[in-house]
Amino acid sequence: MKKTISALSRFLLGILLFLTLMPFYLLVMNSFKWSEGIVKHPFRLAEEWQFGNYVKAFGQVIRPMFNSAVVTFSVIALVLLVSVLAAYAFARFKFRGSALCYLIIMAMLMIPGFVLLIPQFIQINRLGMYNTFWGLIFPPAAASAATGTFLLRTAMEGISNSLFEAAEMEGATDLQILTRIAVPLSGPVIATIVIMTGLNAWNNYLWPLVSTTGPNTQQVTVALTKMVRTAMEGDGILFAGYVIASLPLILLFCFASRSFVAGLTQGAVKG
Amino acid sequence: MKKKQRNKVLTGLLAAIMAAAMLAGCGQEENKESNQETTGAVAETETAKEQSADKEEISLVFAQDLGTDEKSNQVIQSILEEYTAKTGVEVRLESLPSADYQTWLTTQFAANRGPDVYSGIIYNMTTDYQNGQLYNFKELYDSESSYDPGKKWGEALPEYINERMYITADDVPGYPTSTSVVRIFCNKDIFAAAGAEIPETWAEFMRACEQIKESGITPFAFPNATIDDLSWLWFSNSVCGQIDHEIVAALDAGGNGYVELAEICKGMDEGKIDFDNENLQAAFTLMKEFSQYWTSDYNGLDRATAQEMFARGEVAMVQAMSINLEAIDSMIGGAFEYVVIPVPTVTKETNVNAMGKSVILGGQPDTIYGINKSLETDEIKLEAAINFVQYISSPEIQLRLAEEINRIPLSLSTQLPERLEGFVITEEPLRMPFFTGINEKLRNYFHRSGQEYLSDAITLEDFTDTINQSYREVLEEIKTENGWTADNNYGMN
Amino acid sequence: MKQKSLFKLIKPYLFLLPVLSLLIIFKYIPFGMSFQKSFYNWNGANLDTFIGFQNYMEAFQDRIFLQSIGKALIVMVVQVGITVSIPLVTAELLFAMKSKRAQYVVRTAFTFPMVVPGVVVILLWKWILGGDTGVLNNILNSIGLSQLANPWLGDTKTALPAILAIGFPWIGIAALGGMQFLVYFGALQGIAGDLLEAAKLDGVNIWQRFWKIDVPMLASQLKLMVTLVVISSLQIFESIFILTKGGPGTSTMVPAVYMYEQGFTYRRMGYCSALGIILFGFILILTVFNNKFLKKAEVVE
Repeated sequence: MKKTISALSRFLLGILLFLTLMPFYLLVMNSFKWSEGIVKHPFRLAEEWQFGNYVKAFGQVIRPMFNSAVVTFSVIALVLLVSVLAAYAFARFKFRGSALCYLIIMAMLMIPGFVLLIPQFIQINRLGMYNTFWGLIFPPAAASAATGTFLLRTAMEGISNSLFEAAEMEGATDLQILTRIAVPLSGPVIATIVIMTGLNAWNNYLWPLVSTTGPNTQQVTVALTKMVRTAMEGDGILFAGYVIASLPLILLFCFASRSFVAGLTQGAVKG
Repeated sequence: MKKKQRNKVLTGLLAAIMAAAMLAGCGQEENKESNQETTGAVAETETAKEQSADKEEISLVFAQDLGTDEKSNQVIQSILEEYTAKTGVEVRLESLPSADYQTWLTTQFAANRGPDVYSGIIYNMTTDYQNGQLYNFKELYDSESSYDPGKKWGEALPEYINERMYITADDVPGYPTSTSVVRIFCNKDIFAAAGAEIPETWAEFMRACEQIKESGITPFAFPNATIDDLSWLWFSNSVCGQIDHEIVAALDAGGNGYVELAEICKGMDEGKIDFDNENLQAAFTLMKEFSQYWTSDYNGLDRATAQEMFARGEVAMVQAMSINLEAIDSMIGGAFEYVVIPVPTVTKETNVNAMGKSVILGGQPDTIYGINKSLETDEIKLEAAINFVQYISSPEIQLRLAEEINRIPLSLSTQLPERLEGFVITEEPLRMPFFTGINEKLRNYFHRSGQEYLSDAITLEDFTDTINQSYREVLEEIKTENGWTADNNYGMN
Repeated sequence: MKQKSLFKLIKPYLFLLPVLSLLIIFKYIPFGMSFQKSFYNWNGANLDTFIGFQNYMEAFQDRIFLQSIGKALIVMVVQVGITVSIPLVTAELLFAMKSKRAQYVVRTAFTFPMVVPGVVVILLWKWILGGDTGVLNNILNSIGLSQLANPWLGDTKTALPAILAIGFPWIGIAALGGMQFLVYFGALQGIAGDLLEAAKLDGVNIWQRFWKIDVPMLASQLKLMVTLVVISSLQIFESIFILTKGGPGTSTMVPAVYMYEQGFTYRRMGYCSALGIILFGFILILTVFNNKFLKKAEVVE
């Protein structure tokens, strides 16, 4: 009985994995084809492997990728910084207006995107941040900080109070408690926030499109939609560009995953 | 201990990145590099060049919805560079993806950052003009162009295009440089295999579709997913125009052979427009019959996919414009031959009231160049912008674009290259723009209710009632906006 | 002494200062502008007249807008259902694997597709959902279920369900299943080892273990995800915009797409802002209710 359940669950897992990986497979597969191959048989392996697609795409995405990397790292850093501080406040202190502050932070997520596009653009112009990295970092960071605070608060609240009290009695300051206890124990959640924020910042499209211009600040998502190709080549170059552009994200995942696991095992021992 | 090390590394990395960001952010102001490899941007080199040149550097921001075709981008880019070499005025190209062009434009203008010169389709340019974003070209039309001397600039355009550009007698939003000519592409191999002939009349068209369907192939890939696919609106224009052609005479108060927006408002108020009439109902019924030969998912099919299906040989016919020629050819890869035909003519065989001539799908002013109204405060820049627009709309440039990227030129003095022979306009122009000449809202209404009508979600009666209601609603808004009433003859003189 | 307690009093606010100032400067001020403009007839350019509550009155009588909210609710119900089921099941299946190494590898494999941008997934599903030549219909035809074959995106009745199905099994979609999968799996790994051992020794079978141990331990994560998905599902935009723009007819018109149409296609920015404010209020109320409901569930446990 156990064996069939185990076999069945493996089978199910296999199917889920297959379906989940399908888009990725198609992306990679079609990045080696030209227009005719993509239009005629998108699911088959390439007949003629067009490695030139990658060469052509690389030139067009490399600088935007650097720009996106700068923005993404900065956004992650900023989000972690403010979220950790804010979550700590909510988790550790009881203070007046805590519910209100929390609502203010959460409410931000509920504002539909388009309502903000033009006012935010006007605002950034007024602040003199048009076509700068600052203009690309702050608004997305603000958006992700809300989710980050939300997730981290629950994680920190889950940490047993006795740990905090013990540290306090030993004379540790809040910052010390924060960095030595709260943050390490929230490892998995922080890793999740890094991944989520990183993904959102990297894939952000509409905002960079309207708020920047020129190659010095161009983000990779914008560069991808503008990637030129001949009629013969078709979308293969675009797909190649997508694959290249997703490599840093994969790196980010691996990096974050490792600390994810490390934080977990630590948590398990303590728990 | 490992944790501490990692924290240190992270902090260091963080600091390095924030430093890089700040440097890069500052670097934005100076902009010393000009990155020529990336597409579309001839970088503005303000400080460096200004110091070396003794005259003032003018630079213009030019936006166009060019898409991602490499050839188009290269051609436009080289045209811009030639212009700079000729006049010393730098032009920076903002090439936007079509889907987000309008969003980008609207957002930039909202913050007073609109481009100096940009192009668009007639509906958007008209709206932009009414929103106070565009410079009035009226006087320019009455003067000579520096690049096409010997006549008034406006007279270089075909008459019906010229007329169409005047929003009112005194307002012109820009200068058009091409027109779209939609043709039906027919796969010769499939036709031959089904024993069908390339049709000229509607009756022949329906017969050919039937034969192709019987041979087991879907006759037509008709994209009807969103307004951008345009097919339903234009095809209906043509068929309605062919059958109900007498409405033109009834509505054309001004007598120029074309029904303008004001005349439509007037006609509506006088009860002369009613979609319940038998001619229009017959037209819609024809379209419904036609739809049985479409792919089953037409309400979810978009233009690009339809053209791909044609290229794969899955359908016998598809609509496309001259600018799609290269893309379609490369997808087909020589697998079959095709011919292009205009919308089949509805003859008396099909409907006794038919005009007997086909009405064009397209033929409206397109790729209209407009100038940002805010340039009015800077005379030098305004002059440069006008000069630039006249350059890129000159006959030489139009010919070049026709030859290299298959754009249909408007200039009367431009000869059509051989490859575009199938796109020579032989049909009647669109005299009554039933569904495309009013505004975006009406197009939306017509498109959506059309989807419902075709898929039997609503009946023909409901459909025509909905169009009547939509017309009334939209025209009321337009009349209010423009202050048109029967008393002032709807703004016409 | 006084100084110390004063410091203690404002300490929490100091911690909150960074996030609040970030939000206020870059989100709430623009939001305020939007709120202001909702009382105007604004076209983003030259037209800017104050019209009071007219936009709001119009919105509440706007049949299409009201219907769109209904559609958003459908999306919400479906997406919340997805969020608490499939990622959880997958996490469980993975957790049941013996080798920790294999778990790590498979889990990483699951997370790779999250780097594929949304537009690519949407494009792929356009192929799959295509009418005559779509992959799904082809499969249905070949296994003899051709009566089920449909022009999925072209039919007013099936368009919205088809769009909701995009991304199946959703674990590759970061916001719907990817993040949830990671969080649930991490939480499962965090369940104390001895608790699971004890359960095994007691002879508890998998089903019971799932309901009596796993779910309660994951309760807070589940609630978190539900709250987040409620908020994001009501704002669904991209997939609908790219595929149908609200059609066929208005069968997939959701509030965000309608707002875009009003604001950017018809240039009625004031009305668009009003719609946005109304949607915001709706989401706010719904989230407050959601929280209260979830808190009650917590108490019951």
